[in-house]
Amino acid sequence: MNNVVGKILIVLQLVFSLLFMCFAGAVYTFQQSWRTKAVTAQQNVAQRDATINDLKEQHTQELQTRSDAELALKTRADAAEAKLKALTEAVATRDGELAQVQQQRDKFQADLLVAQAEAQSRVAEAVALREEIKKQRDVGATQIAEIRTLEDRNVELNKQVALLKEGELAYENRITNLEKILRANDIDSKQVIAGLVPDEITPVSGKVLGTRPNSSRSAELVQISIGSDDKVRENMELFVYRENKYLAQIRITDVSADSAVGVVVERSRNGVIERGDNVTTKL
Amino acid sequence: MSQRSSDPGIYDGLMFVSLGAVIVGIVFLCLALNNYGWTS
Repeated sequence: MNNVVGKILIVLQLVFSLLFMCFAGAVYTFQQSWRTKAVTAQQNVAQRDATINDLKEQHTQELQTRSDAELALKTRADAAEAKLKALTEAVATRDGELAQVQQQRDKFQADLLVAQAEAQSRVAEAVALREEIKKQRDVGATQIAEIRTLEDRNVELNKQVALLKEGELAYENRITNLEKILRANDIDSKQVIAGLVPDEITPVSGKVLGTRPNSSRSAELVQISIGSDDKVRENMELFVYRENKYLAQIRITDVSADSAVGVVVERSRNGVIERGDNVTTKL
Repeated sequence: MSQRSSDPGIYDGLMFVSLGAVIVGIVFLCLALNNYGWTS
C-alpha cells in the first residue's frame, strides 16, 4: 500500500515538477519576449521622443520663421495699407481735379460753340461788308472817273475861257491899234466900209499822225498831216472822222508848212481819235 | 530484520527526472528574477 502511494506521489511529483519547469520556462520565455518588446518599445519611444524633439525644434524654428515672416508681412501690409490709403487719397484728389477739368472742358466747349457761332456770323457780316465795299468801290471808281472827266472838261473849259479871253484881249488890242491907225488916217472907225472878204475855206483832207495829252494832261493834242501849205491857219477848226463816223472837232494851235497841231474840242467829242483817222476842213 | 537492497527502479529515475525538472524550473525563475534586478 505504501508502495502504491509512494509511486503515485512520485508520479504526481514528476508531473508537478514538469509543470513547474514548464511554467518557469514559459515565464522566462514570456519575460524575455516582453523584455525584448519593452526594449524595442523604449527604443521606439526614445526615437519618437527624438523625433518629437526634432519636430518641436522644427516647429519652433518654423514658428519663429513664420513669426518673422508674419512680422515682415505685417510690416509690408501696414506699408501697403498706408500706401493704399495715400493712393486712395490721391485718387480722390485726382477725381476731384478730373471733375473740375471736365467742368472746365464743358465750359470751354460751350464757349467754343458760342464763339464759333459768333465767328460764323462775323464771317457772314464780313462777306456782306466786303460785297458792300466792293460795290462802294465800284461806285466810287465810277464817280472818280466821272469826276476826272468833269475836271478834265472843267480844265478844258477854263483853258478855252482863258484862250477866249486872250483872244478877246488880242482882238481888243488889235481893234485899238486899228482904231489908232484909222484915227491917224482920219478914218472914222464907226463908219461902215466894205472890207476884205475872208477867203473861202477850201476843203482839204489829211490824216491824223498821232495823239497825245498836253503837259497838264487836261486836253488831247492831235497832230495832222496838213499845214500852212494847205491853207491851214491857227484857231481854224477841223473835223476828225473815221469812215462815216464823226469823232471830234479840233482847233489848230500850231501850224507848220506840212503839218499842224490842234487841241480837241471836248464838247464836240464823239469818239476816241486814233492815228490814221481822217481830218478835213469841211465836211 | 534484514534490509533488502533494492535496485533503483523506474520511480527512482522519475524522482531524478522530477528533481532535474525542479532544478531547471528554479533556474528559469532565477533568470527571470535576475532580469528585475534580483540578487540571491
